[in-house]
Amino acid sequence: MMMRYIILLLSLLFFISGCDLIDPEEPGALVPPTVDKDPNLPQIKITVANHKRSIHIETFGNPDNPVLLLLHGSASDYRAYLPLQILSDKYFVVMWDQRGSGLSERVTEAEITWDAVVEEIDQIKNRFSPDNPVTLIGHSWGGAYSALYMSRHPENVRQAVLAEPGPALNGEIFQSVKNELFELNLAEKVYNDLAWNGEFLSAKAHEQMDYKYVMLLKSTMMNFFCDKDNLPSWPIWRVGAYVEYVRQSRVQKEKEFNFALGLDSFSKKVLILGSECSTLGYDFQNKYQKNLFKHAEVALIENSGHRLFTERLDAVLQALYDYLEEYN
Amino acid sequence: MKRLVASYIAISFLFFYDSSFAQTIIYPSASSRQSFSFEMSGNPAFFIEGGYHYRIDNLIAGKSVIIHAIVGAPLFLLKEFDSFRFGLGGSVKWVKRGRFGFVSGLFTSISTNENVNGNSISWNFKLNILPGYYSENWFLALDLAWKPTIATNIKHSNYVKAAFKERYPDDTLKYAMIYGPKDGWYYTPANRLMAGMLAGYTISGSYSIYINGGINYTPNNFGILMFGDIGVIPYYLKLGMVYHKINTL
Repeated sequence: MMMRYIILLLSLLFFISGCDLIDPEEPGALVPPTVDKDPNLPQIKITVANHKRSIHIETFGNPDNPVLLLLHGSASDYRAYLPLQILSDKYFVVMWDQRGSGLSERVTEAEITWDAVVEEIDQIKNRFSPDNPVTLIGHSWGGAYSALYMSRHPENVRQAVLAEPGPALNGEIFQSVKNELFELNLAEKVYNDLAWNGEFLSAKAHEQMDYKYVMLLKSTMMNFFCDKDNLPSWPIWRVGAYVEYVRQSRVQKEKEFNFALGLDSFSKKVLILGSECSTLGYDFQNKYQKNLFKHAEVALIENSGHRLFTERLDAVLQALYDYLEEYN
Repeated sequence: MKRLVASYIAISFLFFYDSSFAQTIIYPSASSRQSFSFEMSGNPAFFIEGGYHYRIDNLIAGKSVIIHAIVGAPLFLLKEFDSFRFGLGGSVKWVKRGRFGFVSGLFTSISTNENVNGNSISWNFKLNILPGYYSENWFLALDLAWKPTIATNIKHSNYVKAAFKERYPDDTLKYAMIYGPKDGWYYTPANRLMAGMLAGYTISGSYSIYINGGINYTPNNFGILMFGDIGVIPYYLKLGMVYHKINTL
């Protein structure tokens, strides 16, 4: 009887409070809506893997300038890279959230393939620079995608800056480094919060999944940082958790993946940025990835980890100014 | 959608009125009216839970009902003092044929958590049935459970709000008013299904131990079984100990 009264009391409290119940999948309730849900956001449509999708995109500078494409990394969108619009004094800078990430429309598993990645970059390139090769700046997974695109379409790339491309440009390198990337800490708050969070919110749809994944940006279990007690900021609008899931599964399963196959046909100099503290930093890039290119130089970004664009923007910009043709 | 929640609660009451309460032999029996339990579980983060169990005889259809009160928390979040579960429930053992029978139970709990995304409070239910073999000193049963969350209140952190504000700054306030993040009660935000085995053994008249493990499935639109990054783990394991306070009356 007591139990019945307690439940009754809780129910009454719930309804008497007159609370306006919210659908977790309502656009914009937990995470910002994607561009297909909000027509006011800057966007274009592209067709990749036979699917027409809306892409969250912005351009900066004079369209007559040489085109520079910015490819963001994992668990990101282009928000953290917005300071790079400073390059729009010499370039027409194009930043977009990759399909399924950030505020771009969500995609199905069948659309998350390496071929589709190349197709997507090609679509963006052809829209903004159909007749001339472009400059690429890619970070982390965006760096790996840049390398993949260069290996498939070397004629379409004028210059390339790869900031800690990774986790690796081929399966062999990934196998050698994967155990160093991650350090399990059972006592970590974020880890325990996420495990406990199943009581509160199921990862049922993109909205809930993306909302949960944001918490990982505060996790210290990736060996990316100089000071794990003071993580550098990494601003985002929204993470594409499903893309992260499919991509991780694919890399684990396809141990033979190779983004570097054909890279030797790209004869121009490539700039690789490597931080001082990240597992994917300066030493790693020199040891494993530099030699995959015909002509590459690794620049050290001191006092920085994997989030070098927010940790040492000044040093990154200096490296870019030293390398990019329009500044020399 | 409010109707959905109301239906949900109504169905839950029906379960109560229909006396689907349950008990296992690891809880108070003929020789004891009260028990105290301690449980540790991993999935793979560690959780601890303490419980008090009290038997009320002839409460429903001549059956004894065990009332359970529990308090639990993620082990490594204890120092944060922000994540707890407080629960109440009831259970009944229905013996059908010989020592084969089933136990059914219904729990409701309130859980709290504070994380980088904000503060949350959820109101959860757990309905389980345990068909199996129940002898005097041990039992082995199938553990089938449904764990829906009726509603979760979320108060978003500035960290989450900043994601919206950057995309919908003050000069586009009309969008900021339309879009979130929305603080408040989210309805039916979580749902889990569990299937496993539960085995218990009474060491002496006063102490029992049990082990419980199985598959934990979170229904989702993508058919994902495991997404460890965000805490979606498809299995669970629990170890528990029970102290029975032997009747002195």
